[in-house]
Amino acid sequence: MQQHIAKYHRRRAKWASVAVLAALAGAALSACGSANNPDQAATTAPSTFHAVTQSSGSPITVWVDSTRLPGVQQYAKTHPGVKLNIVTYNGDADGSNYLQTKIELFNRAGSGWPDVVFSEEYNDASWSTGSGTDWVAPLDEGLVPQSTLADFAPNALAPCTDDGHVYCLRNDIGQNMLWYNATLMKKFGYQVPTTWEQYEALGAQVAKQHPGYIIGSVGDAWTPEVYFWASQCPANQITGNTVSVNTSNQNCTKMASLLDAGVANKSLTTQSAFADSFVKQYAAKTLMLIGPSWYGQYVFNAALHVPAGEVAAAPPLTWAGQATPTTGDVGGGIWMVSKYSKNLSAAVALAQYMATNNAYQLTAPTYPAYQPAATAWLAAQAKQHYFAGNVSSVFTQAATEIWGGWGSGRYSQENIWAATMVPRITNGATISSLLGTWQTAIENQAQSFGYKVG
Amino acid sequence: MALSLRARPGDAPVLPARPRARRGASRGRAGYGFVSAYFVLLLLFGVAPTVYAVWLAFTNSSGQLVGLGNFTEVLHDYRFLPAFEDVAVYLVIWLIILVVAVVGLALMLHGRLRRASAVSRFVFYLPGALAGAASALVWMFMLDPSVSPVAWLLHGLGYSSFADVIAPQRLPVVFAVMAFWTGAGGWIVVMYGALNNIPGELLEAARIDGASALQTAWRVQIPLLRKWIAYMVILAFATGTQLFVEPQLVGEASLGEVSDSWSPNQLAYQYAFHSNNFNDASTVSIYLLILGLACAALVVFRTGLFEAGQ
Repeated sequence: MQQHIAKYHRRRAKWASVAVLAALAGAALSACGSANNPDQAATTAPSTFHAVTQSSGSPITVWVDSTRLPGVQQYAKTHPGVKLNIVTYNGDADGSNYLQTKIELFNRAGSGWPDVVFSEEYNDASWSTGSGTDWVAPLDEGLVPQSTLADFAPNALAPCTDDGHVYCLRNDIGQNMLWYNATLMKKFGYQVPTTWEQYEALGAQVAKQHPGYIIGSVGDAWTPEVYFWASQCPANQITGNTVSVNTSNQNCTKMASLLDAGVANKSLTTQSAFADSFVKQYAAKTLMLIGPSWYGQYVFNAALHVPAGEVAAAPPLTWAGQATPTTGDVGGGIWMVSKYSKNLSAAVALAQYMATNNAYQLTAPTYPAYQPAATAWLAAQAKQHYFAGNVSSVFTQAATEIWGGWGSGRYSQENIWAATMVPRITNGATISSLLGTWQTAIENQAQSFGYKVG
Repeated sequence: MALSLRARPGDAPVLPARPRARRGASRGRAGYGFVSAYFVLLLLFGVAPTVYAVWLAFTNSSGQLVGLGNFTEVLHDYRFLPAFEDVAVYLVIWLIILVVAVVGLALMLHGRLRRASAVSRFVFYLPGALAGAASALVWMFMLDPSVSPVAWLLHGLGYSSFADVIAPQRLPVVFAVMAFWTGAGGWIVVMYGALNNIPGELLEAARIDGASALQTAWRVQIPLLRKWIAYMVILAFATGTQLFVEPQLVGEASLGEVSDSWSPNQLAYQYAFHSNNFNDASTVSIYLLILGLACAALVVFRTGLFEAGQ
């Protein structure tokens, strides 16, 4: 803008610029094209993939976040034949859009793409295969063996799949389960709930008998994935290029009422489990938290500093009478390979190693999406003796119960919830009263990303 | 206005005119030499991108001219009007605080606080030396009741968490405070310089006529500062409509509790880097350019900012 302001210093220049603008506008008005930018409209991904000319032995560039960095460094050490150029970035986490920004610029420049990318946002896969963006290689067409792909946890590759092809390898999954402080539960004489109804009743009991203690949080962006996904709320159904949203469905409304009751009696907090204020207020008063598999280490251990031997996990809750138990999923990173890579075999080998090889996955802080690695990972976790009892069976069970009806679009449900719902909930509005607002926000966002809303 | 701001006390006496014919031509060439480096950079990084943005705004992704199609498309985006509303509220708050506080503080520095003036000017300027992103981070720390050194004040105002502080209705004030803290210092120094340009005999005359400090400020100093204030308003308006760093960082720090298209500039960013739509992104920037031009034209014509030799 500075340069525009400079124009004001001379009136003539200003009027000249106005004239130029007017002339351009005139030319433009007599134009013929359509304003609809086709980039926005999604089309199906190409079914046959043509790699660029390969040059074996050429260096590959990998973008990785700090958590995954040691794994890649280890790979570089054990594979001295591969020329690796390692770039650390923020993993595209927390809505930073760093990856999108760079890739769009590389797309415009026609060069510069990294060969392998790790992203903490699995939505990046759908975004990457969008027609205007379209920069990732389909891995199921001869690059990664079908037998390997088949060993990922059920639905773990769903976010990677577009038009029948797999475009990324899932690093980890965040299957939700019921985390609880076994020591506190025993002290208070409470039973661990198995149904949502029992959970709600326990909330009311806690509110009366032990006010100040909480059994969950509805204060952050993961609320839809933790509660509404588990409840099979059809808020995020994506078929091809159509998004269907129905937040007035009973599966949504009954969960909203349950959460509202908890917020009203203060057994559920509206503070985010990741806020400093949460740690201060609830470090010793978190009776339960429903959340992903990584909550145990990240929240209870690292943030709340709950001593070893107190935290335990229980299987995901179900509604009374629900035939098949279902749960949601929070996060889980992905490995993508550029379709412009000049050394696809080396790029795919690295991505596959990181996602599936025990040598790395056993050291990973999160639950591997690749099932053989997950089994070994659980055994390694059990040796750390942080949790009260063995959580392996809960992890394994929850991983198979992720409901497949929650889509993975180019937009982020987390962003929508955070910007639209969290401030209103913090302000005292009930979730039930906001379901319509949520629906509109999702539909608007989906449309702005080129989806049809049906 | 009777007085010209261009006449500075202590200006050198007028020198006899130099023989133009002999040295004029070479001096002109040297001038071009000095300007050319800047001019090339301006063309490359200022004018060319602007022209490219105008081109993108009137075409679609296939490069076809689409008339005002992008403009109507963007106008009908559900995020467009809210973004401009957000920034309008922010601008009203910020510009008022900026004008009142900057002029007020500069007058005080120039008058009562003269003895401590050099130190104060330096201290006022200091936050401005901090890059925008860094100062936004400092403010996020200040505004989080669980870590803020002024937590008692935030609790007193009824805010118990960061989410409370950044509730949507408070965001314009929060951003205005951040912007003021980083931006005002530089302007205070500029205003102070402008005040120094007011001839001492004028102020003395006012004093002899029995004007109080307040009357002198209101009737002599502020009218003479009018053009400087206008200049500040134009630039502040332009930077204000382009608000980006503060909402973006607060949004990320709060895990998304600020809409990612809170300000028009963020909306443009969303278009370009999330929807792969550089045409609509450029269109938003052209809307901002038109707004900036309109504001500048209004202020320039109303205050006679560039009218020379009155």
